[in-house]
Formats: sequence, structure tokens, C-alpha cells
Amino acid sequence: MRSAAILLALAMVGTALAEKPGEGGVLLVYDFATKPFSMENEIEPIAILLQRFASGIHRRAAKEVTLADFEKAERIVVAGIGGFPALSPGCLEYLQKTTKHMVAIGAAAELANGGSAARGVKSEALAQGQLVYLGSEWSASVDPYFPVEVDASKVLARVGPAGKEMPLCWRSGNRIGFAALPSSPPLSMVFSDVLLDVFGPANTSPPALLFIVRDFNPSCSAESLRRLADYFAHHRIPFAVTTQMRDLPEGTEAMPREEFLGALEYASSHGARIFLRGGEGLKDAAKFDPIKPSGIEEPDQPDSSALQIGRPTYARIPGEPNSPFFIHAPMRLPGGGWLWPANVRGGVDGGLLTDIRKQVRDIVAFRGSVAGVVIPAWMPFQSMRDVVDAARFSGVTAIDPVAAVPTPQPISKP
Amino acid sequence: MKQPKIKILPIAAAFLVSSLPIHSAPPGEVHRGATSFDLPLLEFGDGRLEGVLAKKEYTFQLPEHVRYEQGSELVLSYRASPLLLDISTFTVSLNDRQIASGRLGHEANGVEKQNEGMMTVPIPEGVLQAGWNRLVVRCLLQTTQALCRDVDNPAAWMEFSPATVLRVAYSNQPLFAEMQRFPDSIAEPILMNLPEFCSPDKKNSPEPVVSLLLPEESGDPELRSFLIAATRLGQTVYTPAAAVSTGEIGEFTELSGRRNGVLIGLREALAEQPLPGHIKKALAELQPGEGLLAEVIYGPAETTQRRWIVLSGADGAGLEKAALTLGSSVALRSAPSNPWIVTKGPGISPLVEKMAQPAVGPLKLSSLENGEILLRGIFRNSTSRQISFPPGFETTNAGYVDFNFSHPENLDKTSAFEARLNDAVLGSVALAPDNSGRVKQRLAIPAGIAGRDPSLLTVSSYLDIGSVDCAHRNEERAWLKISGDSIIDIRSTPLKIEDLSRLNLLCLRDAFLRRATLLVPEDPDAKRNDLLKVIGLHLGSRLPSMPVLWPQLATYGPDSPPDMGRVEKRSGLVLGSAFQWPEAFGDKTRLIAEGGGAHGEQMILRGEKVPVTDFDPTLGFVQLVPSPWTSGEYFAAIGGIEGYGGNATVDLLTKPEIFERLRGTVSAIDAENRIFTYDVRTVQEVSLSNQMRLAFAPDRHVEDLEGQEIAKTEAGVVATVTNIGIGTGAFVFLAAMFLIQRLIVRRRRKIQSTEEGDEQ
Repeated sequence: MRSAAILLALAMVGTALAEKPGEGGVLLVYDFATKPFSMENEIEPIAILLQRFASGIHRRAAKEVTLADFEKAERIVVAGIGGFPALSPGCLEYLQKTTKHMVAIGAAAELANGGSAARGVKSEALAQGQLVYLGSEWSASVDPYFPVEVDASKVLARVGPAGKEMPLCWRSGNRIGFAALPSSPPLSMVFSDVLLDVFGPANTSPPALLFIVRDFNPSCSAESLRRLADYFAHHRIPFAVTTQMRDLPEGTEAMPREEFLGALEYASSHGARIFLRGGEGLKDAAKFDPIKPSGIEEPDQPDSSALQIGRPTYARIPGEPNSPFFIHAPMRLPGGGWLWPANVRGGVDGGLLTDIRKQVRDIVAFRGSVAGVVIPAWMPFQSMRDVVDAARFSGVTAIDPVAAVPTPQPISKP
Repeated sequence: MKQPKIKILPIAAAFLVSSLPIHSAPPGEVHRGATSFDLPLLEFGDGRLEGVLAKKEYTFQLPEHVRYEQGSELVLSYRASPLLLDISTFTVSLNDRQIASGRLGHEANGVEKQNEGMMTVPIPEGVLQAGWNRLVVRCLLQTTQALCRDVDNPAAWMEFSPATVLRVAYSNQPLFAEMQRFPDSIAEPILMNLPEFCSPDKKNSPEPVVSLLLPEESGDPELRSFLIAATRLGQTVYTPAAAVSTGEIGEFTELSGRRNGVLIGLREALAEQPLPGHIKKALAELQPGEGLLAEVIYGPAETTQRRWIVLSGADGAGLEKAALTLGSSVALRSAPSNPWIVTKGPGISPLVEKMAQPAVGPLKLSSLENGEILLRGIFRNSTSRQISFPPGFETTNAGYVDFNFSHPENLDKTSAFEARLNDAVLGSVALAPDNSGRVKQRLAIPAGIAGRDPSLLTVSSYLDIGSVDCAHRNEERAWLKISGDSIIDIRSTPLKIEDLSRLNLLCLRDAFLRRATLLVPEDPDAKRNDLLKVIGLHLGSRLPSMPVLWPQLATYGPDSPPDMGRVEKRSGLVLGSAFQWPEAFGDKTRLIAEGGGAHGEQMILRGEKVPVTDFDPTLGFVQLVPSPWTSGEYFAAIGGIEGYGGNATVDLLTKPEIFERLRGTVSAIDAENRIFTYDVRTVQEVSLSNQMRLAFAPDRHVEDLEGQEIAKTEAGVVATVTNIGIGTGAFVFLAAMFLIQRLIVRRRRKIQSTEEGDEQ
């Protein structure tokens, strides 16, 4: 009887201490949104990268965050943009003891070592060097870099000039430390990949290609699209076509509507998924009857519940227009939708085809990555084919942007 | 538009399911070194340029299945008049990009510079493109320092020699199935003049580029499918008959790696052929009435691959549905899958049907592509506008063109413009100061102009502003504008066939060939198939832009008359020998010429029996016969005495210099191209057989016959004049006699009355 009671008590304590999945989401705590003497938003890229794993990111400035926030969160990300976040002692203590998954970035990276937080870590700028991760290397320069003493066996990624590589990212138990700001690739890609181990699903999908024929409009060549559709169908490659019929380049002539829709229909019957570009998104679907669009691209009115193709954007500097942010994997949208990245852009001649191969190679080195190869629809067929062949040279499989959507599925469907 | 009933859902579902992460093999670095092919410039036009401001345009087509690399060049080999001064120049532009310039001629009073030249011009990357390209040569050829005046100066010329070639650098790419591009996808290697398809010498025929294969024992469905494929190949225009071979499906294994082609046969016939597994499976699963259309690529990607179209069906009805689909470029553009199971024959939408009909009512020039006309620059200029006036129709005399035009006042009195509809001149308009303002002038469209594909309204101008420095631009001073509100009103009527002068139009009574049928003997014969191929290619070349070509075909034999459904309401050709024609027409039709006799030893010409041995065995005959199946339709029985007539039949049908000489209702042609014509509708003094003997006598030549024709005509004129003269003379004589008689009578009366007065 006594034993049973003790066991019951232990179970209740254990239950009380056990994580409650799903309710708290991701808590992002930071000192300031910008670096000292800079107006550039450094927090937004981190929030965007976290959207790969969760649509609900709860942001709190260090001086506003409470212990209750930490207790409620399922996963914790602490970012020191300019310096170590000024957390209350209670919050600091919680962070030191918590068994929840935690990521410590920038000046807060020391938190990942599990010991007491070191304050006043001075950042430095690393000279151009190599970023080494998972056996691949990228050219990178890091500024700011927040040096931290790390056990070499725990280091996941290093960066710096040859012979002077410094630990960039490491894992210690349930904690990830990242000694820089993941504002741009390749740092952002390494950061996102590392998070898979703590935030991601048990099994990630293999790297993939997504072919995106971008902006097929009535000034483009229907013949070229048809030939490209035949080419894809012959190789059983699914692809996406983003389309609109409002905005034509100046000086061009529009093909007849029947021909335009006929070409889209042909592409659709040969494996294309049609995405409506701009405008009112899926509300414009009726204009494309009988074609059934699968999603949208860069709508004028945001619709975060739909399946989308494009790039997330944010205002780097307050007051300035939004600019795109590079992602290398599909991103959850707050409304339940998903965003497929259109992140490989090239041109028409040999030199740029080499660049496409390089871009694809860089992206597919990461788990669960998607190289969204943008093929401008105005190009002649041969040029479009060259872009496709350059990307296919990687040997990576192409995916259907509808069939391969990660769960949960988008809420909004046409 | 009726869409072929196709199994979209299961195929689409299968496709979508199969499109989940599939391991599609990467293309690999299939870097074949660039190689090149030569295109002789003179294949695209005459190489001679004449006149002070000579200009010549060459358009040529490049295939779409290869990749164009750096390293293309233009090799120009030219010579020019030795009288040119060294202010003479020429420039070469390719697709609106100037790529070469050269100076010609010699200095005045100086040493004559070379007037022969050779230059190799590199073509910048990206200038050459798949599809149509345009090379323009412009010259300033001056023989005097004085301001140029005489555009037709015979001393001002330059010409390119046959050594002028466009050397196109390319690399092969792996092919992929693209049925919608048929027939270019099959025929385009012809554009490359590849050594493997060229004849090593004039004695040997070149290796064909395309093969059409069908079963040895082919019935109406197979032969019709074959004919449809041939007509569609002919639409490429660049496909000569020698580039296409016909054969049996047993040759497929050998040929599939050597050429592109079309394989035709019912599924039982194709069962043993080396087709991919998924095609064989689709064939095996065909239901009665279903056809199959597929495209297969043969050969590894690293080599030069070959492309084959497979045309099949569970039965004849299915095969024909597949063939009709192949015959419709509109239907092919909706090809949902490869292979395509065709369950329903394609239809023709009202929009497509309009292409087979002439434009109705007056049209404004602005409604035509490129709209109003503006011709600028001195001397000769010309432009055309495409107009909807397809084959199967001819003009009546009620049509007209109202030209609203203007030009500058300073044009010299020799300035004028001429208008043509197809090749027929509508008229000319002089350009003078009194019609320089906006003026309207009507030119009547004469009756009898046949529709064509394409039909063109051509305006050619000669603008002269007197002495001018030709080296400078003069477009602002010499121009002719025909405004967009000019009216073209073509009144048309269905084409009439009255005699053999329109033999070449007999099958073109409908722009989609729906009213054309070819009747052929049912016995398998390679010559029969070859003739069908030639005729099909020829018909297709006359209809290059028509989206649908659906000719009909029926076989006939001694005990098997042609299928009524394939011959009624149609006109066409009856192929075969003179002994076979009666089998096609049946007993009730009386032919002007046919083989006869118990042992095939006679030719019966209008009932007269003539020994076959009296005829040159190379003679080819053609006779126009009213259709025994439908009133108002006609058939031309064409062939030789014993066989299909060989080259004679081909020449009669395909060579303008031959068929334009045909008249009457029966004609014959011999190996020397001597043509004999005879009209049974008029009373002839000499019998058909005797006239034929005379026409093909050994000592008669073409010139003699022509001279005979001229002499006949002249004699006729002389006879007519003589008759008129005699008649007139007789009338005058009689009138004179009457007057003299009246005078004598009056005089006699006067004398009598005088004598009576004296007596009183």
C-alpha cells in the first residue's frame, strides 16, 4: 500500500514535470531586434526560419518575458543580437535548469553550454573563410561572431579561415548553441538544418527539386510551355506553373485567351500544378476555368491559409519595402498554409547555368531541403530546358508541390 | 469542339500517383562535342542580285530538336560585276542583326579590284534560332559616280556561288516525346542536310530520312492512315519525296535505329514488333473501336536518337480514329498522354472550320495581319498580306479591291504600283501628282482565281523620284501608303472542275481534303504505296497551314468495288493501269480510254480498239470522268497502260510545267514530256487514236508540238480572217450589184419618160 502511494506520488510529480506538448509553441526571446548602430531587423530572419517547424512563434523582448512564458513554451529560443538578453534571475535560472529543447543564438549562445551565462561576450568579425558542416563546405564570412568555449566533440559546424576554424554551432544535450546571427545563407541554412534535430519530425524527407515555371502570361509563348510540359511528362517530372493574365510586359502582344488557357490546360494534363500569381489569389480562380489552381504565388492580399510558392519577405529596415528572405525548406504559414521556396534563380547562358548547378548543390546538401528552381516563362524553350537540365544534374528527385506538402495540409484549398 | 473521348481520369490519376517522388534519372552531362551541318544558301533562293539597290531575303528553317552552339559561321562566296565602283557595298543581316559587310568594285580610273571574293563570317551566339530565320542581303551597286538613276542597270549585279553556305554548329540532345509537334518532330532532320542522308554521288539515291511502314496486306484503314501520315508530312514543305521511304512493318527492327518514321498497323500486325512494354500493354488492352497513338524514342541518349510514331487500333475503325487524330494538329495539341488511347475520332470546331472557308463580305485591310501597307524607298518594293481564301474556292467577277492610298507629290511619272491576288494580276495604278492626296481606286478581281494556302494579296511598287544619290536613304521622299480602311471584297464560289486544266485542283475542293479520295487497286504493291506517298506529300505541301488533313482512300478490285462511304460526295483520283480503271468505276461508267480485250491486248479509245503494241509503253494517261456515285463530283483516272504510270503519273499531278498544259477531258504524256490533249465534249474531225498517233510520232518533239499548236492557232486565225474577208467581200459585191441594178433601172425609167415626153 505504501509502495503504491509512493509510486502514485512519483507519477503525479512526473506528470507535473512532464512537458505538455502542443500548447506552448515556440518562444523567441531576444534583447533587441537590431544590432547596435544598425536599423536592420535581425530577429525577423530567425522567426522566419523557425516557421519551418511551427507556425506560432511567440516573441518576447528579454525585459518583458516572464517565467510563465518560459513555462508555457514547448520550445525556447533565446537570441542575443547585440548582447546577452537582460533576463530576470528567475528566468535565467529556469533556462539553466530546463530540460525543454532550447536554442541559444548570438550573444546568448553561452546558454547552450548549460553553465552559468557569461555576460559581456564581445563579438568579433571573422575573416572570409569556410563554413564546414556535415562534410560540406561553403564560403562564408561571419560578422558578428560571438566566441564561446565549446567541447570539440559537441561541435556541429565550424567557420573561419583555414586552420583557424571556430565553433559556429554545437549541441549539448537538449540545447543548441549558435554563435552567430543566421541572417543569410549559408548560416541560415545551417541553423535551420541543425534545428531539425530538436524541432523537426523524426523522419525528414530527402532533399528535393521543385520546378517552377514562373509567370506564364498571355505575352509568353504557348508553344514553349507546351514543349516544356512534354519534356517534363516524358521524364515524369512534376512541376508548377505560376500564372496571371493581367500584367503584360510593355510592347508585347497577348495571345488569344483560348490559346492561353489551352496551354495551361495542356500543362496541367501533363503534370503541372497551376498557381495563381498576384491579384486576389484563389479568388481569381474562376477566371481560369476549367483549370483548377492548386495555390497562389505572391498574392497582393496575403493568404496564409493557402499553399504558396515564393519567398517570405520582411522589412529589413523599418519603413522600407519588404525584401525577400532566402529559405531552403518549405515554411509553415500562420494560417495553416505552406510556402514552397522559389530559391534557385538563374538565367539563360552557360555561365548562369553553372550558377544554377551550384545553387542547387548548396541547397540539397541539407536535410529536408527543397531547391525551388525558377524558370522564367518568357524564355524560349531551349533556355528553359537548359535550366531544368542544369538542376537535374544534381540527381535529386523532383516533387509534386501538392502531393508532397508536409503535414498538416493547408487549410485553404481552391 | 468535340474532344476525343479519352480516359483522362485514370491516366491523370496514374500520372499523379506516379509523380510522387519518382527517381527520374538525371540527364547526366551528355556533352557531345559540337558538330556542324552546312546549309547551302542557294537552296533558299536565287543567288543573284541585280540593280543599284538590290536586296534579297532568304528564309530558312532550323530544326528544334538540337541545341545551337557557338561556332556557327556564314561562308560567303561571291562575284560581282567588274564595272562596279568601289563605293559599291553589300551587307548581310541575320535575324535583324548585321553580321557582315563587304566592299565591291574598283576605283574609277584605277586598277580593277577583285570582283570575286570569299569571306567567312562568324555568327554571334544566340543569333541563329530554332524555327524560321531570315537572312537579308542588301547592296549598293553603282557603276557610275553620278547620281544613280537606272535601277535596272544590267551592269550592276553580284551573285553568290553554290559555295556559299551557312555552317551551323550544333549538338544533339536527348529526344523526348512531343506528339503535338508532328510532323516537324519526325521530318526535321531533313533540314540539316546530314551526310548520312546525302547521296554520295548523283547515281545513287540519298538515304531516306523518314520511313512510313505499314503491313504488306493493307486494307482501306491502313492505307488511309498511311495517306494521312504522308499528307501531314508534306505540310512541312521541306520534305522531298526522296527523303521519305515506304516499306513494310517487318523492316521496323532494322529501321528504328536509323531513321525517324511512322509505324502503322492493327495491333495484331504490331504484336511482334520491338515496341516498349507499356505500348504493347496498351495495345493489348485496346477495346473494339479504340485506336492508339504513341511516340517512342529509340536509341540511348548519348547517341543520335530516333523518333517513331505508332499508329494502331484494335480494329480498322480504331486505327482510323487514331489516324484522324494524327491528321489534326488541333487534336494533337490536346494529346493527354503517351500512349494515347483514342476512343473517339476528333471533331472540328467552328473556329477551325472557318479556316476552310473564305472570308465573307468586305474586309478592311487593317483587319489582316500587319494591316495597312507602307512601302518606302525608291525603285522596287513589295509586300503581301495573307487573306482568307482557301483552296476549294474561286473568285467570281463581282469582287474588287478598293485601294485608299497616298504618296508624295514628287514621284516621277514612271511610278506605279501593281496588285496581285495569288499569281493573278488585278491591275496597276499610276502614281502621279494628281493622285498624291488620299485617293481611292478600285481594281476589279477577275473571275476564276483559285484559292490557295496561303492566299496572298501582293502589292508591288516602283517609286522613282528622278536622279538621286542611292547611297543615301530616300524613304522619306519615296513612299506609298495604302491605308487600313482599304476594302478587299473577294466574291467566291465553290471551285468548278470542268476539264483537265484544273487537274491539280481536283483533290483540293476542300481545304481539309475531306472531299478528296484516292482509289487504288487492292493488291499489295510497293509502287502503289510509293505513289500514294508522293501524292500525299504533294497534297500536304499545297496545304501547309491547314490544321486538319483528312483525305479518304478506298481500294478496289475485280470483285470488290470501292466502299461507297469512301467515294460518295467526293472527287479524286483513280490510280492504277488502264486495265484496272473499269474495276473502280463499274460497268455503268464509260471511260474515254481503258484497257480491254480478252487477253489485255487492246486499248479502247472512245470505243475504237487499238492494239496495245501501237502505244509507247511509257505513256501515261489521265482522263476526267464524272463521278458515278455523286453528281457534280469528278474523278481523274490516271496511270499507265500496264502499271501506275511511273514518273508520268507523278509529273502530271505535281509539276506545274506539265499540268498547266493540260486541256480537254483526256490527256497523255510520254517520256519526253510531250503532252497530248483531247476534248470529247466537242466534235473532233480526227479520231482520238489517230490524233494520239500523230502527237507521239517518233519524229515529233515537244517543240514541234508546240509549233504545231501555234501553227494550228495561226491557221485558225488566218482561216477566220479569210472567212470574214470573203464574207465581207461577198456582201460588198452584192451590195454594189444591188446599187448598180437600182441605178440602171432608174436611168432606164428616166430615159423612157424622156422619150415619152418627146413623143407627146
